[in-house]
Amino acid sequence: VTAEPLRLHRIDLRVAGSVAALAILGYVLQCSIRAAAPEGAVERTIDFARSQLTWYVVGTLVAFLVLMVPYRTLLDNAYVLYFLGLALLASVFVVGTTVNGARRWIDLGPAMVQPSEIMKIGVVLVLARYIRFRDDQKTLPGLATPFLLTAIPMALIFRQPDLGTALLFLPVLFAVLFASGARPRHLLAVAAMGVVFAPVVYFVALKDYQRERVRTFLTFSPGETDPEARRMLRQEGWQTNQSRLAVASGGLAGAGLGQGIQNRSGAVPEHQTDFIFTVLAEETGFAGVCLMTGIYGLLFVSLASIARRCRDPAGKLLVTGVITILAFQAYVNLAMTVGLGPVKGVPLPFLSYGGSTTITSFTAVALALNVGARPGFDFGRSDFG
Amino acid sequence: LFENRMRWILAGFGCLGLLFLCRVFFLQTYEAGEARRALEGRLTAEILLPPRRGSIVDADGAVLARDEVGYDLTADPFGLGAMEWECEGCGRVTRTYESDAGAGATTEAPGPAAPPSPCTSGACGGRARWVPTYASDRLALAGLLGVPEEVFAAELDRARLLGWEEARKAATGRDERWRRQVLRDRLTRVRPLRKDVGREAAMEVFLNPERYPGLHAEARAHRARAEGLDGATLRILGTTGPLLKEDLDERREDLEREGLSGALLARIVFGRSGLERIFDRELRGDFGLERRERDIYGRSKSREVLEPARDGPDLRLTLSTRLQAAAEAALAGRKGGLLAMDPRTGAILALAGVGEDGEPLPAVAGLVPGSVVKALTALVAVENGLAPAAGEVECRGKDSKPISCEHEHGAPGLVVALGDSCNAYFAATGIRVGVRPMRDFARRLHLDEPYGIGIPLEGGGTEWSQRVYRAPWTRTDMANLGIGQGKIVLSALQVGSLFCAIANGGRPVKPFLVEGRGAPAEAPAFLLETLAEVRAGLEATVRTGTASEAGLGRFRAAGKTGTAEVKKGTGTWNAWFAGYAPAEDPRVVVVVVLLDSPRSGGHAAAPVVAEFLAAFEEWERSRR
Repeated sequence: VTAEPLRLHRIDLRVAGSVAALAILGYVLQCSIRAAAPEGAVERTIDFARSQLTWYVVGTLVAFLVLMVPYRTLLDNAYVLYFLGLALLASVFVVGTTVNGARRWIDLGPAMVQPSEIMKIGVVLVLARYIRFRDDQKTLPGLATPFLLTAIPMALIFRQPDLGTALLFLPVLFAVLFASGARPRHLLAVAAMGVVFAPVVYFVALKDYQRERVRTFLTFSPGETDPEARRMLRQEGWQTNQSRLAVASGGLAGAGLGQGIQNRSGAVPEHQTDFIFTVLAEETGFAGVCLMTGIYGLLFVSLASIARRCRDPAGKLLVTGVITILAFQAYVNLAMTVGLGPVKGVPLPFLSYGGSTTITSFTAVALALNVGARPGFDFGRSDFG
Repeated sequence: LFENRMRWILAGFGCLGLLFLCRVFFLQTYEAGEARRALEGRLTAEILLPPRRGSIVDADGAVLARDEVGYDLTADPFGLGAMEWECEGCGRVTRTYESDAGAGATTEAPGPAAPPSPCTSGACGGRARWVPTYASDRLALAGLLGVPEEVFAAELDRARLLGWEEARKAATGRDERWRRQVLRDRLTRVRPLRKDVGREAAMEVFLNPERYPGLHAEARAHRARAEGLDGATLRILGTTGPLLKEDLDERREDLEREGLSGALLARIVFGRSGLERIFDRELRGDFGLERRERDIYGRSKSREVLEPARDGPDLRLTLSTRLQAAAEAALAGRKGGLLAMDPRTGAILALAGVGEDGEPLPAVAGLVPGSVVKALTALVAVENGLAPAAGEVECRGKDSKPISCEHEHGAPGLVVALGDSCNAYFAATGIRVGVRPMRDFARRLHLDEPYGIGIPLEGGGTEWSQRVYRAPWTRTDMANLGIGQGKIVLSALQVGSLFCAIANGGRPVKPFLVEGRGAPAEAPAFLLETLAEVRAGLEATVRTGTASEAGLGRFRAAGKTGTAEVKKGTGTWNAWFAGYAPAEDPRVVVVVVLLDSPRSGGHAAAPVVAEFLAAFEEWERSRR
């Protein structure tokens, strides 16, 4: 199995093409931010466009590395990778760097590594590996192990605290279980239990600022009649408002690259990372938004066709996990910028500035391409029916 | 199965994508215009340009009130709690602040900031001591403020403790993150410490902020008054300040018409009493408007004055502070008032004398006028042909009916009766004339109502009509009216107007304080013959009558004394003298009223007028 050769002609060009298109779009947006930034702004002192270009190159190299290794080798070592990831996550609490009150990063000198990003891939791998030849996920007790495998890293990430990334694991788990034939009613029952326990989590596990964000999103804040508190809630909602203004002002055609008022005045905080979409929406308008959505759509549909073509159940699950990670992350980010969801520290895959997120996204796609490029053997059981 | 389920997953994400697209479409079509307007609105701003409040100057051109820059000292509790330390060993300087450790549990403020832990720089090996630097010595400012150090130290301490207490109170019961924010917010809030600290102390703080952590100097427009103004002038000028709530309710409509409301009101200095209030709208001037354009980065790009601010015009008074001072000197601290008017126009030249706090100025208060009213009684009687001729009324002194007289005047004519102030003659005249003609003349001469010239609690004149309409007048009432006793109430201002009319050829005038704001000239209310007879009587007062000993002769003055009984049996009176000078071509009318005077009008009030007239002549000379 390990000797299975890489067949380059089987690399899905639609996937690679969409990723390349998104990366170009990301680079253009970073250039627009840099061109529009005022004298003395942070965007002028740090060349985000150039370092993002570096990250795209690094991401592509990592993707090639991942492609070289047959995905089945990776699956065979899934548990090792998983525990390595857990160890990395745990080490954040010891050697991690605190930024904005959260310990999420490990400082490696030239770059900061975010173990929770790496763990996303780890969880997908370990779930695919665990479920691949099983049938018991179709029973309620059989769901316990997959849930446990997901819950441990989630809890660690939750403690950092990084609510946004932690919650990303849930859809991955559900999607992989659903695709592998778990009964919908079982999954619904588990989800219902989660809903029941949500208030407990809200009041016990969430940090103040996380609760605040949820309250801001819900716009009303029960029991908060104190004007001072209301004023601060408004401050929290300010970012959302600015982002919404930027998106709305784009109109159908957009202001033109480098011409957006919100982009140029830097009124939307984090507009080179989490709020990159506001720049796109403001400067290219609805046309640009449709283009971006179209590219994402093409990417996910092409990934899905890889999964369908693959005859290896583990490969299918792997690609399902990859789709879910990327699609859900994209949705959470976009929903946040247009006021459909709470503000979370979730970057937009391929577009947001950042090393960890770029490399993780490229790695995820490389895994899927890996599956597509190695048709593998027929295990006689390509379907979970 | 997998294929089927994959389709479901893709469909799920497809729905989310569609939802997102719909949302963006909604925002970028429906909300696009509004969002663009909001963003472009940030690039321009219309700024109100405040006008300068007009000054008030007196008749001689001396500035009585104007806007100047004043300085206040303010403080923030957080800065006040900071200490600066210097390491004795290596010279390193550091600052410490009061911490809020344990805040919320107690309302006590922490003690002064403690010195930091030993210096850790290598040079001194951690053994050196920290000593407070000069920057921790805010008390150095006490000298410039002119207060003892311990007083200033106590003020600083109080400001710091109060600030902390308030901040604690505001922060109590909040969760950790907000609590810190609220604390920081409140502790750095600047509050007033000392008002009007003087330029020198303010400059010291402006120029050396690092030397006085926590202390700030603020400049603001300040309504400055000329030095050494007398109490009456201050009352006439009135006060300024922010609008009080009750004022706001009263003036809301006017302010709305001007387009002033909300936060803008807090920035405006309003007149609250006196002339500042009466002429407030005018003095304030009008706000100008400036459009400022900013570039996208918030930098100023252009400014264009759409409409310049119109400063309030200066208000020139008819009042002279020099005459005010002379009047105060003539009154010599006695309780009472002095009024000087220009008989030709009604302009008030001086209005001096301060009563008790909360009571009206004596010159504008409604008082029983006594015999000065006989001038009016005489006018009305002569004008109507009802004045008793010599021999018609017999004065039997104390035995006169219905009102007794001080002396036996025999059977005087009008001139003698006026000069000697014969009660018997004017009581009889009052009865003969009746109420209605008296009241009608009072109306013609504007003696029936206060004038509303802006001095608080102005009174006088209203009682007459009450008597006319609410109760029948008896013979005694009418007799009393004729001699200015009983129910009649007039202010010195009204008596002044009466004598202005006598002095200027019968034209009624209304008194006024601001140049150019007098009422238009009116037609004479009496025949010249009438006036001539009455003026002869008033001249007799000074020459041979009740005021002959007051020294008014050298000013060729004419007038009428009055000694009004207000408190029976106390042996004190309201002593009046109202007159004009010079008699042949009057240029000034002077009314003096002394309250609770032990002497008569002729002996107490008339000499005051004489003293004032001396000062007036000098003033007139200096103006020529």
